[in-house]
Amino acid sequence: MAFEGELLALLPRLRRFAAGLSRNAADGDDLCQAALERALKSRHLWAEGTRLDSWMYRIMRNIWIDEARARQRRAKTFAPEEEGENAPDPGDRRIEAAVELSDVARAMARLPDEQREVIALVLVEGFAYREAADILDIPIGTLTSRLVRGRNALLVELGEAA
Amino acid sequence: MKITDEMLVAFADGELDPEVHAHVERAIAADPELGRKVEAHRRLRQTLTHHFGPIADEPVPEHLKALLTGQDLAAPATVVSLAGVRARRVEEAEAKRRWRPGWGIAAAMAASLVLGLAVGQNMGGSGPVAISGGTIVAQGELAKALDRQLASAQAMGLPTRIGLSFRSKEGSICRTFAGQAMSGIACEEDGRWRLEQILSGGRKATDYRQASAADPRLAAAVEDMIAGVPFDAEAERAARDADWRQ
Repeated sequence: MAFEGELLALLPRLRRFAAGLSRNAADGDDLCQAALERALKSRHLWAEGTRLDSWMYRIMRNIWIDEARARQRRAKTFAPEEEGENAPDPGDRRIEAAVELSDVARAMARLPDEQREVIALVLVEGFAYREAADILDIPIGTLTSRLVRGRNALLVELGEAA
Repeated sequence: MKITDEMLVAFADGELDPEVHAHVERAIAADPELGRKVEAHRRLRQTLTHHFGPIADEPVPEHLKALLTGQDLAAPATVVSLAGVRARRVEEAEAKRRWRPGWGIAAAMAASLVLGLAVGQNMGGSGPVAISGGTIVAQGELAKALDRQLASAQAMGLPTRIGLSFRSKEGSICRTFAGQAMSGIACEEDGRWRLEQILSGGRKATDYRQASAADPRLAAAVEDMIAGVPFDAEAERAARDADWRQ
């Protein structure tokens, strides 16, 4: 149970990451659940003695990316049936989104996935650049340039640009 | 050495090696503009920490805990896909959306129901609403949240969340809110918050999912009432500093 126990201790942080990642915060716990299930299934792949948190963040992020790709494919394949007369107009959707999200959440949601995940890992989860780059499996130069772009976009969006 | 954005950001994050760090420090001392940028980046980290932090302090939902404590033996052995879980939620959301055409009547019904509950329980008490001069107004914690809370700077986990602030076609400033017992729209009127729309069942305080679930009916009502566009962070702050008066 040591493995489960450690995951249990990580859960609050995983939920926070999931909420940051999934744009629509409502999906955060679904993402969390999917990540836990995958982790339990592939626990033999975790090398004991390595950081479980980094491993879990990686799993969660990969599920999220897979899902985002699948969603894009679906969107290209067929238009949802809602796009008939009952579909809300875009202005309606905008207001709906605005009612739902605070400014910070909205600004985060507008970032491209690749910038949002970097922001979530470094600024919210507090990982060092090197650790975050390892989790995302990208070179550190790529990480820093995404971080700078993401940060600047957030500053503009939140009206805090210096 | 030219000071790049990358360097400033890494400086703010404490990620530079000592030599470059010292260099950037000197550059900042010579150029206040650089210092302001670094400050903005540091504030941004605080803003995000403040925003997402409370999620990690919330109690973890039981169904997630159960996955790890082995109390979930009855669960199906197949992995529930994220898409599957999500499909269920989309269905629920669409069902809600289909409510919209009946908004007027439904809202009136919902409102009277909530009012019956809220006012009935809180006659002369400290509930979120009171009847004053034939008008339903916010009081207590709800009134305080409407008075003070900025959507641009609110932590998760507060009892009441403020959504949008906007000017209505009648000229008053209105704000959407979601609290524990109800969500709705309140408009400033003579120093009080008159409740324009009320929907029962805002959210449960501990349920993060509920906390952000916008009610499409509320959005539709905003659309009917709004003149122009919702306030941005700056306009919201300015309106608060002017006590929400025109």
